Amino acid sequence: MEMVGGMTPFQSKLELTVAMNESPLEAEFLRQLAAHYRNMYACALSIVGTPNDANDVIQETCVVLWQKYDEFNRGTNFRKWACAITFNVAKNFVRRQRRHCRTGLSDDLLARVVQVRTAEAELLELRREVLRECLEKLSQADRTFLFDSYQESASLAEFSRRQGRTAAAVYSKLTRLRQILARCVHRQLESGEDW
Amino acid sequence: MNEKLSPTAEVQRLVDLMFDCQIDASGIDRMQSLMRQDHRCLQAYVQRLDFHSELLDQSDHKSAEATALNALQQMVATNAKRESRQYWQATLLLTACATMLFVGLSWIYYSTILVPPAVGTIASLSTNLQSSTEPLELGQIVRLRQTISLPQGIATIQLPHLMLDVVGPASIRFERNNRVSLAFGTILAKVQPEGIGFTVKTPETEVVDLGTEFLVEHTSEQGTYVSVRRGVAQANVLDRRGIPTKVLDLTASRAAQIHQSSQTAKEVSYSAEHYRPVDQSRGGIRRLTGTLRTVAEVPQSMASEQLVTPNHMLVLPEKQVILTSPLTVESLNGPVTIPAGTTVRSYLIHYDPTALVLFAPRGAVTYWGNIAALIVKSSGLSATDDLFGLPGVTFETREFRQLELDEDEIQISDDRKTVSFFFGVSPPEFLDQARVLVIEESP
Repeated sequence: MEMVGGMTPFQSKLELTVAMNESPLEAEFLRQLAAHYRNMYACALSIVGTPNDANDVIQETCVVLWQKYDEFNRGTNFRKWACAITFNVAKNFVRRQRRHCRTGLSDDLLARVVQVRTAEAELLELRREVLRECLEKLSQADRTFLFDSYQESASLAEFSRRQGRTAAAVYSKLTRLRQILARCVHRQLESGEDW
Repeated sequence: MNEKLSPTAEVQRLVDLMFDCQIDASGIDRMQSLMRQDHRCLQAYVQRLDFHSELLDQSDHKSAEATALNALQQMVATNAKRESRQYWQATLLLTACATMLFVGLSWIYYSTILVPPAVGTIASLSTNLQSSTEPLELGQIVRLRQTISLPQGIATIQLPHLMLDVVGPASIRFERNNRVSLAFGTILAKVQPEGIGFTVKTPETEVVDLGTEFLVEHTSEQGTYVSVRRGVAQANVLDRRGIPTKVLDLTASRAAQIHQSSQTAKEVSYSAEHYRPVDQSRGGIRRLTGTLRTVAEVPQSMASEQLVTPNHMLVLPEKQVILTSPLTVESLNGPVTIPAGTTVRSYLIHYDPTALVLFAPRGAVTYWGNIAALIVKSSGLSATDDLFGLPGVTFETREFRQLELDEDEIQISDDRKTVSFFFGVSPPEFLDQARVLVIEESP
């Protein structure tokens, strides 16, 4: 079997699952990845801007992290290490997209995005907590609609068709719910005492 | 875009569009412009995308471990796809290499089929030679499975360890290095000890050489005649299926006639006359090169303008004489005395274009025996005409038959087996002749 970065590459999902359960190294990697996966995803999304591209970046990042995991200094900050790699993978992803005539943020702006995101990590985490609270305030139907729209991997038109509504109507509702949540977060953070 | 929006709200709006894949290039440009102008817009960009990220997380009800595992599974799937792609690329590459290798090997194979290996070369041709297959030339390579068909004339083919004379009309096919098929006509094989096992096949006979000089003649009417002049040959009588049914061992000066229809093989009287055409044409010549030819029929006259050879030189085997007394002749480099008891074969080199030619011929004759003397002077030629000249042949008596050594070139190789010529042409008389005396030695 080919060795990648001195570690065993997984050949199948079953093999992966078994490996994660049996090998201490792999199990440790999975734990670390699970703990910081969402943050890595957010890092990727902040650079590439769309969920599909972020998914591609995350997949590529996982490969790189796994290949370099034996270089990772245990006891140091996995999140910081993983996010740094995610940013690099994402920036390279955007550069490739730009070369294929697709638009994307310039390198200098990407660098500033990384700076801001790193600097405001705690604030972002706070905003997330507030957002989760705001979500609880939505009606079940609105929450379901919102989550469905975010989970929908197909296009908005397809989601609209499944909803039995026009795309404009669906997008209008989605925009409205986002505004509600954004205002809620803003309000909560502005008032402060609710927290 | 709504003009009432603040820059940060506009960025949020543009980020939403980007997240929903609804933004266009101008939207990206506008967003970048706002982000460059105002740090708050940059913050708004980051916060809005993080907002969407959290909504994505919340909409996904799986645990973090499950999400990470899913990401890793996707990674595995991606790797598998990449490996599959690499596998197919490697497969395609291997297929391409294999195809190229196959094509290459096929080319070699078919080129071997189309251009079979050489089995021999044309060593001598008579002047009257005709070929119904392809024009034959001295030195031409004879290949495996090649058929040579001669309506008339004599061609000598040098095979490994043997000389094969084909006397037209004849058709012969080279089946292997040491095996030929005779469809019709006469062939004479002189086989050296290393060539033992050489086989001539006719429809009814397979003649296997056991170290000898033998002749095979086949006609559809008479069947196969096998004659052994020296050594031993084995004649296997074949039935219609080609299976040997009878074996005849023929020793020197014995002959047999085989008929397939009656499946009979009977010994018949031996006659040296069968060998005469080849002996007359080639004698003890091992090889000719250049523009030299042998003769199939003995000419009546070798005098000037009697045997015109515009494009080639002739080499005419003459008498074979066992000297009863020492013979002294004027050779190229002075007098030569050949002791009594020596068997000497004479070869007359003849060139008579009768007119100026653009290119005077060059050529060489290689003999089995050693060249004892090379007579180039008119006096020496005339002095040996009677001794070595064939019966009934008349010779030129005038002096111009001799070589003019200032324009004609003739030399003997160091091993004294080969004599090479270049005969110049100068009017008014064009005839050039030389006589080569060879101490007879045949394989």
